Amino acid sequence: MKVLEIKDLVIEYQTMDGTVHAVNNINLDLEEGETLGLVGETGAGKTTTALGVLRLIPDPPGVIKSGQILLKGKDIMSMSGEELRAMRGDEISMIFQDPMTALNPVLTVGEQIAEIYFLHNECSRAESMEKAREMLEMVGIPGERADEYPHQFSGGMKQRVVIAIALACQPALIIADEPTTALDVTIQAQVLDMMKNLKDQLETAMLLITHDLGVVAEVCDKVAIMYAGEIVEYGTLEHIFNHTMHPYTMGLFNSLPSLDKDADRLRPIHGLMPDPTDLPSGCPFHPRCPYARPECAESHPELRDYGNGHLARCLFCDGQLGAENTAEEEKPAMAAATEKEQTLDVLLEAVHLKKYFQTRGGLLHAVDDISFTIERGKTLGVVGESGCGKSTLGRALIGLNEATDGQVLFEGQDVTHLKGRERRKFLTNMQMIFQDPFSSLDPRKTVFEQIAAPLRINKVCRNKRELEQRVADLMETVGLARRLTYSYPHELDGGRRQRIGVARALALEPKFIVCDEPVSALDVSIQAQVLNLLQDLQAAKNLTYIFITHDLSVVRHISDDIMVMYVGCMVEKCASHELFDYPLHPYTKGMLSAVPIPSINMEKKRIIMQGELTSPVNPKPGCRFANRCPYATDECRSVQPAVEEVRPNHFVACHHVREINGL
Amino acid sequence: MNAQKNSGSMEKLRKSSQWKDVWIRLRRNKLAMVGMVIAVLLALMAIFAPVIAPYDYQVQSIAERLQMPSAQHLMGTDNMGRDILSRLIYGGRISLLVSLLAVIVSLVIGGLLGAVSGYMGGKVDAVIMRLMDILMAIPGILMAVCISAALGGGVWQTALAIAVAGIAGVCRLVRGQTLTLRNQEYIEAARASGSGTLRILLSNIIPNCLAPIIVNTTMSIGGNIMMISALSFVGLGVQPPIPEWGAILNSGREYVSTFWPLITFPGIAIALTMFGFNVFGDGLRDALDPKLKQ
Repeated sequence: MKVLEIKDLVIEYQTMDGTVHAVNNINLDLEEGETLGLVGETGAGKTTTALGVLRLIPDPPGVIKSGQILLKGKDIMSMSGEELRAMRGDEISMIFQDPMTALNPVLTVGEQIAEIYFLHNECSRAESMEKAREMLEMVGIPGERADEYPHQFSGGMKQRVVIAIALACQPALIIADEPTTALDVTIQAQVLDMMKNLKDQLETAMLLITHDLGVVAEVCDKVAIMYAGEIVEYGTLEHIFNHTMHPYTMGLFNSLPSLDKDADRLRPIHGLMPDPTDLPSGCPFHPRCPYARPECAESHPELRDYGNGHLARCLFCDGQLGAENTAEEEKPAMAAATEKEQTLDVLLEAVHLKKYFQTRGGLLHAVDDISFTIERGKTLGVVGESGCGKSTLGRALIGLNEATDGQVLFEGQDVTHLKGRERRKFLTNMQMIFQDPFSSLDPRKTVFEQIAAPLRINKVCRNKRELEQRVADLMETVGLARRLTYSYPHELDGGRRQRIGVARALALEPKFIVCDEPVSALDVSIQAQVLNLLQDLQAAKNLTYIFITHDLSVVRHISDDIMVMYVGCMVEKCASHELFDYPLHPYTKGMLSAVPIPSINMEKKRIIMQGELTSPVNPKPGCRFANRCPYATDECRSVQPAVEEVRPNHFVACHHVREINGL
Repeated sequence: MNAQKNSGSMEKLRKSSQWKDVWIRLRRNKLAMVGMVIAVLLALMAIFAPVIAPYDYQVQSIAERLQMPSAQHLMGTDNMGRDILSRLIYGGRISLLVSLLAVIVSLVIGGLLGAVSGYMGGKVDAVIMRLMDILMAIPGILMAVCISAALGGGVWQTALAIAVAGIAGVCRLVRGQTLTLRNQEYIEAARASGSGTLRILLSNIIPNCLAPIIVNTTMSIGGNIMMISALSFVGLGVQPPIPEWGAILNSGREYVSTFWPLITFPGIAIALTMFGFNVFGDGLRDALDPKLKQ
């Protein structure tokens, strides 16, 4: 039975700048028990489609221009306010992206689940509470915890609660908007696993909105790829992953760094998503399409069926795509020129570095006794889940957070506790690229001012002309158009904003850059552009990076060496390919197996790690991973393992590493 | 994305200067322009009072007391037979000058204290905030009364009294803003570029606090005019015979039911001033925020 049918849906937003064509003529249907993945980049219209189904489009400025939405055959468009209210939560429910803000902090989680029963099923408070407990058990939380408040739960647990609320009335349809994006990989694996099980148990249909093709491969039955408000390709998992037809879908796959193969450069989709107020003529993808021909700019392709329900919206995708216009790939001349120098020249060394914070709960061991070296011109990737201290480590290295103990040696000089002018002088050698391209730029300064600030502070330029020239050069280096010089950050998209961040970091010609999750806030195609830029710059200027990220495929792509952190400690460090081929630490193994892989052809042996991260506040002695480790012994729980060189250049902190790996 | 479309025209105007940009945005806001015209007219009126005023503000003529508005006295005369219009024009001088002075003083002191307090945190924050708590514990008007009583009445003393009463409010406002701004990554980015504390405060934090500061400032100009009148009323503010809107209004209290011009005109003057500054402030806040550019 069809749970949801969307027919010719058109949604527009009337804004000051003109009409935003958010959703253009979308047709979708969803059977009972089926999961449809709605995939696309920011601004593709995914969330608008979902909100349209709930009739939650903010009006004004949003208008559902035309189309039909049928829920179990009932037309949502003609429902009254009362009927809509009854439908929401009872027939359709929604899981939001951020579990931190989706729960009410002043009600217990039990009350929040019970409220749904109380509102829709007309049972008493006590009965509702009883059902809420059952629901919590179902999502893997002990029923006794129903009386606790949201802040007492971790991120993954909160998302389980959100899912429990969504499932409470056994809705026919669940809309999940990026349900695991805010979670760490190991927690994401737990939640995805649970969602799969529940779906099979309850026969609920699910509309899963995501940008992560790995997640799609894990849980979806069908996939719809959206671009500029349209569905450009639609089919089963098999269709989309193994018989990709549309150039945009191909571009998405090519933009993804892969966990299992090495590629020197990513092949991102060029350019940006078109302005939704001013869509290009013909196929909206043609300006970015490597296969575009003159016809593509003229006629708008229809969504055609290429057999067995595999639909695609492209004039030439039935085997006539022809050769890629490789001319579009600007091969940066500088990238090819310099080979990385093979000298073992240590640029930076951390020696027993510690950073503790005094919190109300006690001493937070953010970085606990970490030692490593980085060679000039190399990239050290630092991976770990949120709260493992990887950002603090990066900040401690460049002195933004002064280390509590230990040393940072830069070119052999101790730079741990520099102050005032010395620190400023030294900082010109080390810079940082920040995670969030929205909060790392001062909203009241133009692009010029942002990039000029470090030059001004350090009085690098003698006069205004020189300053202007330097900024112009920097903008060119990072690929920002001159006409954007006097734009404000909010006028630019995430990729461009991140380029400003890169230009600012480069302004003082540093030798060493800490990149703190520089691409995690970006869409995949933009992410690939920025990663390529960072690699080109490294090659051209012999830069040394510390690349902090939670994304294992990105870190594999960009790093020479990788360090894995867990709750303030380094658990493993080795060459990048070695980590992925022969992980030795049980945590690394679990984390690697938890990454959703955007492919459906691989046998996955998943090690689901139970439990959550231990608290870094006043940690108990012993291995911090012991409570989640399948191999833990009493020794692990009492003695903290030291870092050992288990294989050449492969460092692991685990008591039982040799037994586990048969070394 | 929309920036690209307009970039042709945008670029031309950006190149000139950021302030021109603000001015263009401000000009599009009609209400703000009305407010600005009112504020400018009031300022001109205050500056050129001796030229504009038809009569001397202190010449009394008992014979002509409490006259209704006429061609001779456009707003009538007060209980001492003085021309109300002339007194309002001169009074505007005092009201505007004192309240502007007070606002500027409390803004500079309170703003700096608040920014330092919020940015530095720790002991500095604790000490400054306890001082502010002490200031807050005494009602503003009482504080002003105490200071005026200690320093004696007069224009400068009144301004100082009102300024001190306003410091705590501004300080708390700026501190709150600073606390939210402090953890933004761009502040950290500025530190990573080598900015010192003072530079971050002046070039990153304070510009980003502007919106609430401006609204607060324009609101308090109105509020201060009221406070000056209150001080004048208890005899601690500006001393007679210097005219002041609040004082004129107060002198009309006895005549509320019998002689309307004496309370109506100063009332209108105060209301108009407050309206003007408030809408101008709102407009200025929007114009200064590049995000609201349309």
